[in-house]
Amino acid sequence: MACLDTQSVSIYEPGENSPPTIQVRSVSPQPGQNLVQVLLGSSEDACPPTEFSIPEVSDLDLDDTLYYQWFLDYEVTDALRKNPLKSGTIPPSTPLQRMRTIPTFSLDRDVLISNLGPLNAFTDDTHILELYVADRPYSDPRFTEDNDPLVLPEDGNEDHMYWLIEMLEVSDCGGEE
Amino acid sequence: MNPRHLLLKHLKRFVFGAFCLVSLTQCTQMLPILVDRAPCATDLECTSSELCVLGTCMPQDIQSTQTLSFEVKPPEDSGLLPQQFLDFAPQSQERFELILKPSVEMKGLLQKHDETGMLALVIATPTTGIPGRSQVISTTTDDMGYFQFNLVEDIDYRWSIYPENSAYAPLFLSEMKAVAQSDWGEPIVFPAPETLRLIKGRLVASDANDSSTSSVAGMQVRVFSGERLISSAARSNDNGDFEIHVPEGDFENLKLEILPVEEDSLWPISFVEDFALDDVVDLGDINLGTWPDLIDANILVLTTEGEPEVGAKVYVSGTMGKGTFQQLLATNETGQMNAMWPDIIYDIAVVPAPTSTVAVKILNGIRFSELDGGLTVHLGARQSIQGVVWSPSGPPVGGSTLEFTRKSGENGTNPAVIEKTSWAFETLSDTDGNYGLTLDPGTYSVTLVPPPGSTLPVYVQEIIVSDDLSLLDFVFPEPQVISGSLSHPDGETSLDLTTIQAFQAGNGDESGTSQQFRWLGETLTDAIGNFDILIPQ
Repeated sequence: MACLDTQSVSIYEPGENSPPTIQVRSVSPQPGQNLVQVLLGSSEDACPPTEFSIPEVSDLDLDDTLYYQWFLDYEVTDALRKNPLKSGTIPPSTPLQRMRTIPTFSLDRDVLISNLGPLNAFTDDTHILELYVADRPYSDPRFTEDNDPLVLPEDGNEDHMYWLIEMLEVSDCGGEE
Repeated sequence: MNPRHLLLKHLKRFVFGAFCLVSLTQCTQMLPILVDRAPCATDLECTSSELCVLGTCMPQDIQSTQTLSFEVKPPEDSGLLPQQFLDFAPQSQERFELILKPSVEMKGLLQKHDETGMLALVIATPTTGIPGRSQVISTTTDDMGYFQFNLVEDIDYRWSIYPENSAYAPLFLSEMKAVAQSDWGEPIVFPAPETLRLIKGRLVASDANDSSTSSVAGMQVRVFSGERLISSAARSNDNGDFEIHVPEGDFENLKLEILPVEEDSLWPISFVEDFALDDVVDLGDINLGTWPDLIDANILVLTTEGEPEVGAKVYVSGTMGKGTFQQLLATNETGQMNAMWPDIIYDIAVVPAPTSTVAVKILNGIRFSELDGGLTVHLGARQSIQGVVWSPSGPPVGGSTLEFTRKSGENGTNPAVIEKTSWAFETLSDTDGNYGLTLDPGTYSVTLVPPPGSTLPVYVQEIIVSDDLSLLDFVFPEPQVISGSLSHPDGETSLDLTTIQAFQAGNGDESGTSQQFRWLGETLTDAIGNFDILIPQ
């Protein structure tokens, strides 16, 4: 039996802030329930980073600046895991364009060690990598409830995407022996 | 910056400010080569001697004389895999063509020696590629031992297979070319564990009060040859015993790694070296040392104004028994970090969030049991840096993103407690090209990204931030355009939305053992597969 795709359609009045939308088709790897294997080599630079490409984020408000944050295992009550792995800003295009690109995010051994500590603390489980994109700046977490870094002003909109990832420590990933 | 440079900088601002008043359109970062050219959407709209590059008809003679390598990542729904094109010299005056190879399905069956299915991780690594960017492909077997994945046709791969059952050793298969398979082929059978070389031992801990020992359960044990993992991971049982099997082959510089895997385990990461392979290697009791008392480790982190610093990362490292104890936590909303840790001597690094204005601090030789009421860390101020981002032709570039990634200290190394860690700061240049931010001292890789839609290239350079650096301008290099087209292996299907990155081989290190590749630029293909990459000249 076929499934009905009931994607919601939002209509925005002129003057209303329209939200940024991540164009899922262009995203690599594809998000959702597929487990992304992140290979971590045993030597310092053996395995290449696993890259998450977001080439297209659309926003009908062409002059909106976009703000993005990447999290691994985001948990607002955990002082360490509510720190974004990476955050950034995308100014409007010149000339103004609807489609914007988020810089490719590279997940590798050093990023993980820098943000989550020794590898053995997190290589056993499945993890969730999340991307948030907003069209207003996120509030400074020093001044939000629970120091939450994902608080937006009332007129701000955001889109969100996640990947389930599994980290695997393997031998070297080098091509040439 | 000396007064002469400051004067020159302000003079440049004045000149270009006046220039912008005359014509606002002249203030965008236009490629000089694009000025006064006809707009276009495809090559067909240009004359036969031109290409449609970045929406403008350009003469065809603008191509690189460099040897470049490309990495191509097609959309997943194309059914094609990421691929690399090495040592490509796009000297043609027309668009050069990159033709992707098709994917082929490779499959197989993994069996234990008793012909039951083997659960395993299967990894295929191309034998050639851009160093550090191998297009590694991995999959796992099902319960019956079957696996299948897509590889790039006619590419040579090395296969590594890691069984989930630690009684079996990994298999490292010789290289083979990816070709389409019509059936599952002959099963790959793992040798019986008892036929493999065995390393065994028992993990124990000393009692602090007498000479007795107790077993240490639940630790993960693996064998490395140098930095290469050559065994599956075994766990020590309730008696502390472990057995680990090593595959056939000559392995040198053997090292047994013992590490805690339970989240609440506070044992250090330890190594045993100086042993040689034999049919059976019995390492006997491996004493991980005396388990120290746990004590309250409380840290309060304060800013220069004495306010609590929220969200600062606290890296700790200390020698414990045969290994190193390492942890990473962060300060809470009151600037505190509280933990129960072994009573040993620690090196501590406090790294405030990038949005903070206080600086990293390293403390050595801290023993919490010798401190009354915990450790209070007063952070100093980060170094304030400002400057202007210029285009190569002169005008300042507003809307540029500057990402400063701290790789190490000023001398190129990091203290052991933050070895291999990095953190990044980001800022934007304003409409006059001005930027400003605060940074920790250290060696940085700075990525200069022009505003979206600009015809300037992304530029990466290294800088050292020290106490005496406060003014620092950046100049985008002259852009160069590399124009090509990407073709589907069937010769017909268009490949839009494909990411293409360009790299250039460096000169390699002094020993000549590895060649460094420099990232030059990135773009997406258009609806018909054409692409133009802006790279630094």
